[in-house]
Amino acid sequence: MKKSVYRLLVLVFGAITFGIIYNQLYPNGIKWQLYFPASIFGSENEIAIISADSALFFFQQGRAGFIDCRSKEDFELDHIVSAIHIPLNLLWNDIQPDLPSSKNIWILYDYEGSLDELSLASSNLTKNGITDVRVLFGGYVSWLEKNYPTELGEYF
Amino acid sequence: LTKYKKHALLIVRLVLGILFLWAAFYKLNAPAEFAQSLENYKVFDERISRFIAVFIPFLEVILGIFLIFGIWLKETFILTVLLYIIFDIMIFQAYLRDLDISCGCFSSSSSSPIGVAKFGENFLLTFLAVFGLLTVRKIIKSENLEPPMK
Repeated sequence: MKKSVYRLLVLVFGAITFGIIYNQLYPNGIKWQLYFPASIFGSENEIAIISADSALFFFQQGRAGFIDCRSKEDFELDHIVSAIHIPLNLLWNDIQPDLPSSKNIWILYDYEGSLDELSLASSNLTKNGITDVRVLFGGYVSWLEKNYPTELGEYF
Repeated sequence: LTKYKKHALLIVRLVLGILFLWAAFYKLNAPAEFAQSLENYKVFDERISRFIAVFIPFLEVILGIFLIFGIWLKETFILTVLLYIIFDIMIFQAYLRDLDISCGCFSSSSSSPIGVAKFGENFLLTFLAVFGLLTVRKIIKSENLEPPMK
């Protein structure tokens, strides 16, 4: 009985350990920060939030660009005007996106502004040299609620 | 224990082991997609779904290898039965709630929608796992009853 419990624990904890290590190393893996609340990471993952009004202001000045982090299907339906699509799981994996240098503010958004997920994406972009990254408060929903400009995607 | 049952156990081990490895292959290639499939069942929140998506594929790999090579069979079958019962409950609740989702068992595509067929398929696998566990227990019991070799 005791031996069985020991073996069961070895199997389960072995799977958890291998799983965590694999996902840390695998480029498309789920990073460990994504199964804990962002608040426990302290200041490293603090993010700058921007309202839809301010985002529109910077966009109209030509200073800000948008990065759409929703799924490809959602992006192909519609998105904020001239947004670039980079799925969240790519941004979680320390990629260095080729962003136009004409913009100095990059605004990340998903559907409703999930700060925990976007905070990791934001800190990865910052680590990769993009200095001013902000997250759209309330996400795409807040943008739509204000009737700010959007465009249809390739689906149409 | 009959010779027939021993052969049946070997077949069950191979079938379940290969299925586990096959299922794990897709999940290891696309962990985020598997996490999304789990979230679609609307049982766990996104964080718990992600954590489960991290370790379930490796549990399947370990169980698959152990089943095929016959290592720690009692414990492996206990976990296999538990895993299949959890899968059954997940599929059944999704079916009752009329969730229009794919199983996420072997691929992320919608080719394996939740329904009576999927539940039946999983129930059969659970039955095989229970058969394996009971047979292995019998083998262990009968080996313990035999007098020690001189």
